[in-house]
Amino acid sequence: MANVSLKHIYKVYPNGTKAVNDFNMEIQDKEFIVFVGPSGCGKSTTLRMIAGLEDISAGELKIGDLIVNDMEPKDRDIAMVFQNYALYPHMTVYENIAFGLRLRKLPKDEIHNKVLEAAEILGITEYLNKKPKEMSGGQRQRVALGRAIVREPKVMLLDEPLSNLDAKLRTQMRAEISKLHAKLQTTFIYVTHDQVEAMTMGTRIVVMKNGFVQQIDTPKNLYNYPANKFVAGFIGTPQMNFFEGTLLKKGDNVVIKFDNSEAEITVPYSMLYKAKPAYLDGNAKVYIGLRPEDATIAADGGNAVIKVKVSHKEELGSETLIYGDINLEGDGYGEGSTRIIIKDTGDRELNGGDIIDVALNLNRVHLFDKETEQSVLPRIPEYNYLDCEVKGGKLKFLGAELDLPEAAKCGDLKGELLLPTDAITFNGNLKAEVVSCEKIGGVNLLALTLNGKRLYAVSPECVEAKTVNIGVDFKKITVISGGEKVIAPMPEVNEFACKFVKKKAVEEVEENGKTKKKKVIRFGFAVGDNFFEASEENSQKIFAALGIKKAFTAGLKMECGAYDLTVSDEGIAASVIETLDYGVEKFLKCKVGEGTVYVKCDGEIKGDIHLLPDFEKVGIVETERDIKII
Amino acid sequence: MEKQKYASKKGRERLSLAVIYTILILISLVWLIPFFLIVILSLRGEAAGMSAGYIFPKEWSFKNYITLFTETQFLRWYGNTLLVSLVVTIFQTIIVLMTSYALSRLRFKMRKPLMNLMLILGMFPGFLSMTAVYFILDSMHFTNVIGLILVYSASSAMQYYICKGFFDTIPKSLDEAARIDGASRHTVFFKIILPLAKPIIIYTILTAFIAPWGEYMFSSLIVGTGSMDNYTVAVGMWKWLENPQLRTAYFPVFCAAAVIVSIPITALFIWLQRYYVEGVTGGSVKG
Amino acid sequence: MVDLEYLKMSPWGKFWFNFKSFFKRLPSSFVAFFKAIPKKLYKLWLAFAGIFINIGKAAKDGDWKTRTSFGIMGFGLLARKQYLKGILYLVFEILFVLYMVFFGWKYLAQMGTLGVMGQVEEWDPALGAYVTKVYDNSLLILLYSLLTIFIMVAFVYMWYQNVKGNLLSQQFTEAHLALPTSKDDIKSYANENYHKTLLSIPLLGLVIFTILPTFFMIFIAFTNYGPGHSPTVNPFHWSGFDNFSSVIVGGISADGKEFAITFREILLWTIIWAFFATFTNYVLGMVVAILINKKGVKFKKLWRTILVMTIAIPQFVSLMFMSQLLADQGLINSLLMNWGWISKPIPFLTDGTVARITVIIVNVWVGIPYSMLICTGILMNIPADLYESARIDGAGPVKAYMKITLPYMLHVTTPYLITQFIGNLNNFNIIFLLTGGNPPLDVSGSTGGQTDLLITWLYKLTVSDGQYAVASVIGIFTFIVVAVLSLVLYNRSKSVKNEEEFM
Repeated sequence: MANVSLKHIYKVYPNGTKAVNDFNMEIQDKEFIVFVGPSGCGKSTTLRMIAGLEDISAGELKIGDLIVNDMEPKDRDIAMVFQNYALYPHMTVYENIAFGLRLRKLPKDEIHNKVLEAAEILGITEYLNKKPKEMSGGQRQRVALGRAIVREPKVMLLDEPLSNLDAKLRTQMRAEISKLHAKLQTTFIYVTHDQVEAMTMGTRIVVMKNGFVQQIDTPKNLYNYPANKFVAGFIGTPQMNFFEGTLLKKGDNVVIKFDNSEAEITVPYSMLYKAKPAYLDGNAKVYIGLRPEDATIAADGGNAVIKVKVSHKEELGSETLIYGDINLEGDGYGEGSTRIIIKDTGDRELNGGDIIDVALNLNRVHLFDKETEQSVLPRIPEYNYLDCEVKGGKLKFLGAELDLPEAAKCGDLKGELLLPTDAITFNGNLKAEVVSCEKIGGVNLLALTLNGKRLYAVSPECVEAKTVNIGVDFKKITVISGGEKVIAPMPEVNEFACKFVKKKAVEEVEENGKTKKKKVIRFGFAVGDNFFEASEENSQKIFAALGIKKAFTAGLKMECGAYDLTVSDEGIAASVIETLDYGVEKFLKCKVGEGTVYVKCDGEIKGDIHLLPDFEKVGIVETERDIKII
Repeated sequence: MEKQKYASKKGRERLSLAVIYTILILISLVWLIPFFLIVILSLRGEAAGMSAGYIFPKEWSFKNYITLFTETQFLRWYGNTLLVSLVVTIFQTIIVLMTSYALSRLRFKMRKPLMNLMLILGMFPGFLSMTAVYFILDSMHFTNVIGLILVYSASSAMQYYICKGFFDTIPKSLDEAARIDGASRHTVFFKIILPLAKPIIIYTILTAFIAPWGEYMFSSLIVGTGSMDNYTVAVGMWKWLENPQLRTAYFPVFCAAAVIVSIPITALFIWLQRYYVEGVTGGSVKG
Repeated sequence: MVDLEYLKMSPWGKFWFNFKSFFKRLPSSFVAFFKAIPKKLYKLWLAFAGIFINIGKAAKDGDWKTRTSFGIMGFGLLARKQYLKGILYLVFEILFVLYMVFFGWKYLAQMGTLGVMGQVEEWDPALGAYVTKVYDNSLLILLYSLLTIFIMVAFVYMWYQNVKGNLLSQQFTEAHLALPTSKDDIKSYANENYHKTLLSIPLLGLVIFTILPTFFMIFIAFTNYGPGHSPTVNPFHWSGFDNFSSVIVGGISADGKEFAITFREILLWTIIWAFFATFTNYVLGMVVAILINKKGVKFKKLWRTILVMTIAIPQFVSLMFMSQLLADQGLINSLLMNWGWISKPIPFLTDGTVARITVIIVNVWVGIPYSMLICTGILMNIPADLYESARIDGAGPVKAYMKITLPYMLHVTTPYLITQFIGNLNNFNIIFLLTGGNPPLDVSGSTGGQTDLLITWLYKLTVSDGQYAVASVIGIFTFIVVAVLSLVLYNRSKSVKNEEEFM
């Protein structure tokens, strides 16, 4: 009955391999979270770190309001169910369930009642006097669950609990665990490699691969909006079909051309508004993903129909999987880039070698970059890619015209404007129409039209009105012309190398009305010659992450944004290179040591200055392992 | 044709079985006859040495057993050995279990160096260090049963190997489940591991109990030079046969003593055979 | 050599290839071993330097409490309310000082000479008679000074821990981190420090009864402790490498003893013995196991029990009985003579060569039940489908044995074979109780016998001859032989290498 918060959680083994990288997640109370991914992806390691069975290399783990990084498993108020059940073989079922309660020295009657209650819930009352080895796998797993729930833990951890069971039992237990979750109203964290389990049980699913989180979302969103090719392929059976191909924009349409095949389909450009224009040039390679259920055998032709040569089929009773090849020379075996699997519900006589027409559901086509494998159509696009023109200090795009501020001035040119979705402000003087407002994971994506052209913006609140006034935050925009960045955005994060140090000082302390000189110890961060005292909380975080000895020797990096630095009389020495005037705001571009730093300022300043970071907001990163500590 | 072949195959199998039975019976005889001889010779009533070239006694009698219990200190030696065995069994079992659990389940900095150290120590001829041990014990006036107990128990830690191998096979998830249930490592050891280690505990007890009965080298050094009161059966019985003059006279008594020593241990061993076999085979396979 | 070429070779070719490559690799593995030494030394140096750096840090960073604990151990801990640890450190220091003052230093001071005056007849005016007075006992001097050195090492270690602990305690206080209370400390000995609780007693036993004596033995090898020097009557002294040279170079010693040739003879026989004893036991044990386990053989348990029973009978009983049975005037010889089969006794134990064969055969008799047990266990573990697939492929029983049983057994039992081999190198019981090492070697002044192993010779050198120093040298050599052989064998055996945690 608690939320679990994971912040920058890392698991680094002594030989340097990172099993888990920068795991961030806020798990709400009563959620059913499923970690899913292939073996070795770090899902079990993460779970075991939550349980306290593995040390956390860095990061902050909270259960409820408590930081539990260094707590013993028994003090974390969690319970865990293991893959091999881990029942104590020499104890009866009753003793197994009662073991934890007895160790916690509960009164006998209470233990008895609780054990009976748990047994009742799981329907194992009649086995209470049996030993685990006299029971079947399903019953054992029930006992393991009983042992976990009897303690009424804040968080239930389940590590592949069903993988030792046969298929039928697994389905049954799946339902029972879901029921149990509903009944107990406790936070569940469940690890599995089986995507069906993940999809059927989780309220949210964490897909992991090679120690990195790929996507965290609800089952439905994972299925409909996979963030990358891995997630797309991992979720859903049979696997999504992937083809290699190219996209070419032709007027208001885009032609999707499949490699090694004659097949091509045409879709309206409106479907690909969110895609980077670079993908639409007919050269950039993409993966075209299409689920087997989104392809149907068509009776007659249309524009979304492709020809497929059937190779073989698998009858599943209610449906048939038809294996074919969009390359009419191909054989449909192997997982090559031209094989297609079609889920067909009809009863059709098909033979190997038949050429059939297959209609594709165009609304459900997924596109992924061939190199990065990230979705070409992200749910929240990072940029609006627009054609623009600069003329006489004015930026023209989508038929609108804005004055470029001092800092972003440039000569006349024609080029491309990368307008980040979060660079659109809602206090400008351009009028845009609101098409839709979509709430996606805590932010709102506004689809706007400006002079009839599509524009996306993120906003903290949903806009109900039909039209809205928008402006542009110029420090975030990029203008590319002739392959060169003419206007570059201002970096958001400044980095300083620093060390954690101890400083002895003599201070005058008031004690019993007398002023005394007293030696005190201060901890803080040394940047160059400067010493910034660290808050108690931050010191504790450093000690917790690095240990009391390594804390003073480890190389650290301080990260802070332009707003988190103030110009002052003391602090980090810097020399101003220039003042950047973005109209509404002004920034200083300064040189600190070898690096360049951007600072928010009010007026124009020149020469040597000093900077003070705001330690409420700065981040501290250990450089050697690249682990975020604060 | 087909049937004939089948029949001949069956015939061949029968033949090979017959050969195997013959070999097995022969082997059993070879292994049992010496012990059978000991029993027969212990019942010999007449005074005739080994050089008397016959097996079955001319006069069956328990005379040698009576001599053994009335005229020698055998009973005292037997008591000594039994005492040593029992105490060593307790110490050794405890020490082996503790060491094995620590090396199998706990992870600490010196774990591997410790295992290597014990490996290297095992390569030194243990007997030689006994000279020093003798002087240590002598200076404390422990060249008796107590000294022997100390010597046998002290290096028990080095016997950890088989037991650790057994512990390694107990799934780690049991420990983890128990730790989540609220158990300290100490509780895990006592409430989870030990109850599951019954076979290996019995094996350890059995081997620890039997060892002092058959050991001669250390016991002869520690207690063999002092008073006869402190002898173990091995040392005492060796002294009987050591002197060629005494040998003929004492040989039948030796046989009688051998029977008395062997019977209880053998009975115990056969009773607990299963655990011994488990320990030996399990331990050797895992190395 | 490409893998494919290797696969094409005949079994003998493979064996020969492996054999050759083993010996080809041997020098390089030795080179690698010695090459690793500087690296190890450097690491050691780093660790060593780290100690001084830590001490220096404690001196520099430490406040007055920490610095005081350089002299008064545990002071800083007491001052920071970690009473339990602090008191323990302090008590340890006091005990150490008391030990050194009242006991340790006396012996340590004499370690250089190992005593000058032994037993002296002195006129006791009170009694009016001469009394024997023992002044210096070299043995006790050596023993107790070693003990003192051990205790000093322990003290230095504890002192270092104390310095580190005090500094850590100071750092914790400064960092506003909670210091573990005495209760936490005690609790930690059932949890994260549980290994200390479990291992302290076993290790104490090991140090006093194994490690200290082993060091003692090594030191004895550098003295002239022998028949001419009884520790109380006539103190012995350091003699450098004299004993080593008398064992390696040879020559007849002052008291007419010869060691070098004997050593070589016995070493050779020890290795031959270990090889044959291991090999015969293993092969025959496996044969017996296969016979018993063959399908169709009944009373499996009975056969096994008959053999296992013989393990239970104390070895000294069966071996001494055997030695009487096989003696020249023993039962077997007299029976055979009575029956007129032979005219004079077969020298089972009295002729060198025959005796060597006898001990190997008797060892088979003693050892087969054990190796049979091991092989049975493994045979039952061989997956049955291996045999089934071999049968389907048309392999007969002999072929199945050669292709499946034997390789599997060898693979699994390699560690067992190695330990058996090493055990046989030091197999005292069988030789000593059976032949006593006899018949004597045909070398003038030699104390060894033809069936003596290094270990039994060692026994005789100490117990009967009082040649303690030479025995220690032999002991060291025995260790070297065993260590080198096991190092080579362990490194060769893959199954050991793959073991999760070994070396």
